[in-house]
Amino acid sequence: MIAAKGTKSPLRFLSGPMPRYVLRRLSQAVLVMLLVVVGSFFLVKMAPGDLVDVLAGNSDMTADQMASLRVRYGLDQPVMVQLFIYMSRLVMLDFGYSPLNAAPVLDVIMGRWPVTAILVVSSVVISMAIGTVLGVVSARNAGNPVDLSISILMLVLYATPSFVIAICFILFFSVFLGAMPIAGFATVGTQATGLAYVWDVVQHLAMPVAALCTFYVAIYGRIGRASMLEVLKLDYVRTARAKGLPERRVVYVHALRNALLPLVTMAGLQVSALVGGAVLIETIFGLPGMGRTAFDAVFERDTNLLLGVLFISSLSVVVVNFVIDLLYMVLDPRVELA
Amino acid sequence: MTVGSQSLIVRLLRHPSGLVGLLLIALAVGMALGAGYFFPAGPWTMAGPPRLWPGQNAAFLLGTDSLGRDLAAGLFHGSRVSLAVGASAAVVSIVIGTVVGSLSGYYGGWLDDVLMRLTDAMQTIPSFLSAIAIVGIVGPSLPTIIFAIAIVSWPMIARLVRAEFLRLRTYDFVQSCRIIGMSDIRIIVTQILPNCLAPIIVASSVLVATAIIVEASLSFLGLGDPNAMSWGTILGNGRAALRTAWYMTAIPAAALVLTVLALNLVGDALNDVLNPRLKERS
Amino acid sequence: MTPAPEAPLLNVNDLSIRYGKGVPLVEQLNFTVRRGETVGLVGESGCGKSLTALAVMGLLAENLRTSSGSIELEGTNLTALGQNALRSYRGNRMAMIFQEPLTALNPVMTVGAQVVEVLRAHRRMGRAEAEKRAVELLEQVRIPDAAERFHDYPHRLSGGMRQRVVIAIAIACNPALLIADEPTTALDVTVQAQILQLLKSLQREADLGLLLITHDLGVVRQVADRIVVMYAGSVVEEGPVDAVLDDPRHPYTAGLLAARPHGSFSVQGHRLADIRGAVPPPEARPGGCLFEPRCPHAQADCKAARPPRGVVGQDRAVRCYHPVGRPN
Repeated sequence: MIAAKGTKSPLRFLSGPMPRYVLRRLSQAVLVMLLVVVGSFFLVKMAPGDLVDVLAGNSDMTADQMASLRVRYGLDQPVMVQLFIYMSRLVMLDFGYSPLNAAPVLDVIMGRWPVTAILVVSSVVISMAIGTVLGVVSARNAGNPVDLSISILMLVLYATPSFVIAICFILFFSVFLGAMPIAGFATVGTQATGLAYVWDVVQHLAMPVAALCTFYVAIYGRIGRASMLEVLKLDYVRTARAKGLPERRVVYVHALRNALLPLVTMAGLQVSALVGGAVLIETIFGLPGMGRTAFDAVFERDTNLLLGVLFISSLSVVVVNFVIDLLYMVLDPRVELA
Repeated sequence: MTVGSQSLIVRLLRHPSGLVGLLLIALAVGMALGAGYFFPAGPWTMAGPPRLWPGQNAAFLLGTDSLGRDLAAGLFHGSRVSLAVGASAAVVSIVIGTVVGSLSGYYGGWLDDVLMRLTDAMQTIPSFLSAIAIVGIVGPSLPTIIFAIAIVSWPMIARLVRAEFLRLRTYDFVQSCRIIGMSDIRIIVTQILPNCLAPIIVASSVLVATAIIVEASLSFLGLGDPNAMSWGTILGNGRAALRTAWYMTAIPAAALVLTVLALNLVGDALNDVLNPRLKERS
Repeated sequence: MTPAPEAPLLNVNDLSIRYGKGVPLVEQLNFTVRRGETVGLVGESGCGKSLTALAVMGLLAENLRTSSGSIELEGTNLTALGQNALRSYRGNRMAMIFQEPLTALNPVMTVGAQVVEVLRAHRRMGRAEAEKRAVELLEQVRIPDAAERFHDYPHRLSGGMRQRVVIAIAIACNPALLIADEPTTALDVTVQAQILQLLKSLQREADLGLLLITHDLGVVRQVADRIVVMYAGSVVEEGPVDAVLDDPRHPYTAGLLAARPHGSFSVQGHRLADIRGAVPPPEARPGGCLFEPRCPHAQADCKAARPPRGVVGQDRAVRCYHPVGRPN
């Protein structure tokens, strides 16, 4: 990639219309998060029965005890008051207490969040990389058997739900080959540290990441192919050839640099879905991430925890979207902030 | 519906993907419709010995599950649930999305801002997480599941419809309707909406496919309607016996994949047929 | 411009281009371009002039091939070369600029980088040296503040400026032949004149052979030394510009000249003279003279076979059994 002296530097963002843009995005994000909090709060309140009912179900309690517990948890207040109290606590990063885990919600989430983050980030990076490669190969071989077989493969991967792929992987690699661990983030009770620990984690995460990736490899592959085919027909590619440049340079420096832009946009749109998909994968592979946490919270009616997970997941999506938008602006010099 | 000189179905059938897709869907629909005829006892009846492999017993061509239930019956009856949920969720989603998108695109201004922020919020919460939350909280039943899937899917339709409305509302035919005093609602419904149908139709096949996958995922996790057996339920049940009786997973999985594949193929064909300008030249 | 006595720079010999084994789109084309000479290749849309240019550069689409004939540049037959060898000619000994400057440059690279790229592809140059040379080239094409424009992205420049950058890229390695395919059609009238002037002065400075492809006879008159008129894939007339345009020999050329609007608003009642009929598509070309179905002077023998190329005067040739105009 050409980085000529004085290429439009990313630092150009520090002055000019950028601060206003950031402010605008920030206020939009706040509004969106507000809607998320209010929406999920009311959703959670729709449950037939509340926290105290759950606790009472696990141990014997008299009606008086239940009533006093409700007062203690503030569950006897009108819903709007509860909402207000919740939001004011949220501003101070107090997500409440999780009876299921006997710990503050924030602590529980902070402990589980890295697992989901690793899963999601590796999936995005790996699926973009593989998808792009497949898309480019497909486009350069447009029409011939290589293209056809890749396209069919991507069609099938696109149509197969991730949990089906996960089961196939488990069946093949763990049951038949006995090669991979089935569940968990790392070997139970492991004492390994440093590189050995990392290798253990990689082995445990390989299948989950692969299962999560397949759908997105198909998406990026299809878009990459279409984008490359489109770009290869454009005038500036013809100019590059007319300059007598080596074909490799024409394809990778001129065509690909431009063809990648829609892929970056797509990655931004897929973040939310990816986090949702991680939920399923975590549950199947027994990974202690946020998705599994949400699932358990739903079953155990741990509303504080559920709200916390919904909030943090949404916040992560907002942040990642913002980062990807910035990345796009760096990659495409035509984008100028009004 | 007639597009150009040939009916849509005919043009789809001429398209190779369309043909294959429609055939597979017809197969699935056939299974759904014929379930009651072929397997009148229903999928829950423990009809035979458990863990029978396909082909071991002529009475149970596709084998039985851990409780002795006929897998073929499960497949046929399951197609009813999966297809019905998929189609209904798609319809509800399209209705909600179209209403939001058309109002947003037509009126613009503060209404547009509010509705778009709402759409942003819906798209920010990871959709499967929302679905789990809704179904888990309100209780797993078919209507809830359909509603939950529709709730997380409408934003895409809304954006599509909004984009079309933004484009079309500047056209002269809309202005002339305004001039003759047509009410806004009539303009929206009778003038602009019919011109948006193409992208909605293309999106609908993807929507149904997604709905089927979400329903299967929910059932797989145990959040499905306990009274309805869908393909996802069968998959979930088969998980425990994965090591020794993996056919219990493979069979419903194959049905699922083929149906979703068929819907995607039809979607591609619809796209080529209805949007010839955007057709990829390769 | 007196033509030099040595061999022509570009010699297109009996060139035919077709889709695989189909009908020829361009048939048995013959023309030359000498060093320091500007040849205007004119014809209607679809007559094959752009195809010819792409064939010279070796940039034909994959399903098109030169089925017969040869293209000689400085004595080397380009049609016999493989892609790798052709690449060392493209941008180096021969260059081409296209019609639409808005889309001719890569939007994610600075204009300077795109000039440097062609320099480093064909010359052994260090980065710093190439950048210095690139700025000089931008100055040579009369881009103001060249050193600053170097760092700009294409979308910041106007159409005229972008075309200048495209020209700078084309002349960067001192090519002997420059092909310009409708270089001014997409530009404002005032900018058109500037670009044409620029091309002429660059040609003088470097003794370039310039092949200018256009449908605008006015441009040809201004800039070209010789004119080659194409119709339906063949050359129908060629010669010195003034001689051909003042006194056309081929009925098609005469028809083109007569069809231009002339006179002023105050002159009343002149109907636009048009050539009746339409250009035949490649599959439906007549077996005899290509222009015969539309020619007002057609005679019986015109249907028989393609007219051979006949010399009709000093440096002039025409493919017509019955040329019009004043005989020498």
